[in-house]
Amino acid sequence: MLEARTLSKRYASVPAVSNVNFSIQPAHVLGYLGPNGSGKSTTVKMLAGLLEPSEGCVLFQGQDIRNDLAGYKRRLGYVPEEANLYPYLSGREYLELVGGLRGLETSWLQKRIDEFLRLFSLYPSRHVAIATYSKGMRQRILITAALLHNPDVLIFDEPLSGLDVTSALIFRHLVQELKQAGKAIFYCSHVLEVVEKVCSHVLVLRKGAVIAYGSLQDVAGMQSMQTLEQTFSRLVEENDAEDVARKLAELTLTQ
Amino acid sequence: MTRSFGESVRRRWSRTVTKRPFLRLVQHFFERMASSGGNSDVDFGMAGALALLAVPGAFTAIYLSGKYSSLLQWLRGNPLFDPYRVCVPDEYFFIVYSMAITGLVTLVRWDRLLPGRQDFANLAPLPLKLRDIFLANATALGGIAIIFAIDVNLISSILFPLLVTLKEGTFGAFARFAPAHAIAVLGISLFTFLALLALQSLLKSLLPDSAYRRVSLVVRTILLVFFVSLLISAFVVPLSIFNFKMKPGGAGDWWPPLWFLSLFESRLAPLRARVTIAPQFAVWAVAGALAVAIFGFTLSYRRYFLRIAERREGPGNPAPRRVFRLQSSGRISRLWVRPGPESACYGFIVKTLIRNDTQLLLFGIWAGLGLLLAAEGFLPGANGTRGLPHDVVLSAPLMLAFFVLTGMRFTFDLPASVDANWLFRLAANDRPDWLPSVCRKAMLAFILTWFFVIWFPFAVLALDWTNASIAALIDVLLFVVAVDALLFGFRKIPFTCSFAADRDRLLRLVAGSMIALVFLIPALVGIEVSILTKFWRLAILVPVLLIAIAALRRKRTEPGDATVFDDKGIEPFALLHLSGD
Repeated sequence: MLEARTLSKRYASVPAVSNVNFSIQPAHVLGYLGPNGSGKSTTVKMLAGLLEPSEGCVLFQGQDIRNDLAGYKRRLGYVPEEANLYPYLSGREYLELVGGLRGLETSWLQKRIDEFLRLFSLYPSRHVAIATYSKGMRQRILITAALLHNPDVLIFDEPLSGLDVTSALIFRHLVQELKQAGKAIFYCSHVLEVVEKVCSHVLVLRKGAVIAYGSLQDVAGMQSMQTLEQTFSRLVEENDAEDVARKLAELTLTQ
Repeated sequence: MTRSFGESVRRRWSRTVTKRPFLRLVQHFFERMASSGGNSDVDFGMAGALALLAVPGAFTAIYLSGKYSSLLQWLRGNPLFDPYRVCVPDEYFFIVYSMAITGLVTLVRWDRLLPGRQDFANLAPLPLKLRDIFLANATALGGIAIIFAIDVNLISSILFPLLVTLKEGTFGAFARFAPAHAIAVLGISLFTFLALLALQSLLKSLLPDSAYRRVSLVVRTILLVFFVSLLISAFVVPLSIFNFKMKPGGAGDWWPPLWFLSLFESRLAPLRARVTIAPQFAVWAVAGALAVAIFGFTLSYRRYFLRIAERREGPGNPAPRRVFRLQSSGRISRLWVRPGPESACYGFIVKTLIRNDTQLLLFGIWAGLGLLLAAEGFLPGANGTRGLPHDVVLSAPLMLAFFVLTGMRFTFDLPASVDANWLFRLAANDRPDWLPSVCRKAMLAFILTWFFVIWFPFAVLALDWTNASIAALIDVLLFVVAVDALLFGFRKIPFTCSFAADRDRLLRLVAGSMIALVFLIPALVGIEVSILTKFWRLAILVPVLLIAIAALRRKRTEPGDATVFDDKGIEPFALLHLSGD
């Protein structure tokens, strides 16, 4: 359904992402992993149609998304990394704006927004300005905005950021439900435990290049490791985490 | 009936908007520009703001009714009163007022004129063309500019022409005068808005992000000072414009209000025009501003908006910020402040004041006004017949210091980021003994540097060594008294306490500033002049100032006063303790 083909991006002459290939089928969740600066956000922006690739392309149902970007975005739900919302709008107003700009029918939209707000425990704060929302509340608004129009493809960039335990749990189950409903989901995160639980496939990125890609079992077992965390550490960490932690503790304890 | 009509209009609009997301987008940009941003305690809403802005023009027109009343003129023994001759300074006032208000409101909304990162983050993932987002913003801007220009000038555009043409008493006279007035005031309003839009869009498209932030702040501060001064001058200058002899090729050619005054006169009575600047200037100015604004707007779309996602300075990928830092300033400040918490807090105060946008903007406007007033005395012919350079030389540092100190004291109350004050809550004791001295030293540092580096050498040249040294001694003592007085009862670490805006505080600030400007500074200059003529008077003044400093410092804080981190403002109610418990 969604495919990245030889996707590359350079800023000036510095490569951020090089020759990335993957595909996400319906009812699949691709976990996208990598340390800071590995090119995850750049890939997400290219997949969401916000950034033009330097080389390669993103295909949706076999067609380059650039051929009909607006049509692609109509079927896309996107939760960005930063909840950069309009602070002067209330949660409800923000969702009305998003739904309105997506051309959703007003009365249907109103009902849907109310139901989402109730399920996400935001209904009591629906008329309060977003400026006063906590980080978790803003994140729930973003997730709602991505789901309002029942998209076929979902791109989540650190979706659990700021969510409390209950909301995070709800979200995890929600991803499973959406997967079963046949949605193609791209899930970018640092939280390996969650990726391990919700994703069917995993891609690991390092310095802009793919170093591991396959089903969760394949990648987890790549280095003869038992967990994804151990495999990830072996694949991408340049420094021994335990060694760095020991040095930091020594520095802290120095008078 | 009204409710059902309103409801049906809303429903119809909602249906239209659903079918046309572009209209919804225009509505969104309109609301975005009209709102306070959700971070302000003061938000009148669009209708309230429009009503507020319409009031001064309306009041001025009503205030002028006495001037144009034929009966009153007859009673004053002026039966040959010619309203067309008298109305020129008043027309100039309305033009300048329209320009100043448009400029100020545009600058208040400066950061929201063009779509930015927030718009890109929220709107770009939606099924909209980026070009449509930009065009919707342009449409909303155009709509707001027109509504705003009409709002500011509407009532005066009816009342003022009515007053002026009252003597003739014909509709024809009104119909001739009203369009001339409306074209002039609406024209300058549009010109100002378009010129500022052009400036901002050019800055945004030509400068890199990091440079844009700094340059934009400086430009905005300078323009705010200019428009505030213009607004103040609008009430004074019209009286003198009567005496102007306008010549083509003079300085007036560069003064936009005169272009539009000329346009007004040309439409009204070209044969007896007082302003001889070509009226076409105004038309060319609007057309030029429109052309540059369209060019800048398009350029900023291509060079800024389309590249937002690529900009490495984005929130997730911040560019290293180049920090202005003088190596020697650190060494000097080590001599000036004690190491430890005092030094840390001193650095925090200075850096926040010169780097944080809100503080820098407000402080810049206030200090800029001070600089303007201090420099005003140096303008050729400003001293009139007295022509005493001593007065000017002596009053300039007092005037500037007054604005710098009050500006700093005011910004000390405004939080840089309340969320970050936990650091000080953890580090500061209940009543840190270094707090008064660090605030005092920071305020004095902002005064004494320019005072000794710029003013003192100048004073030595203008006066002489002895007089300059005595004046410097008096000024420094006055600065210390002023700093101690301003910090009296101040129990906060600057920029770390929440701010509760209250009417009393604002009134105190305005009243104090007016009193100081009108009475205190001239009185102090008078005292300095009298001491420079008879040196022995210094023996009286110095002990008085030293006693004042000592008294202020002893009484500054009461025992048990704790550092304040949450400003409660004025309590809405208070317990009276009538039982005597």
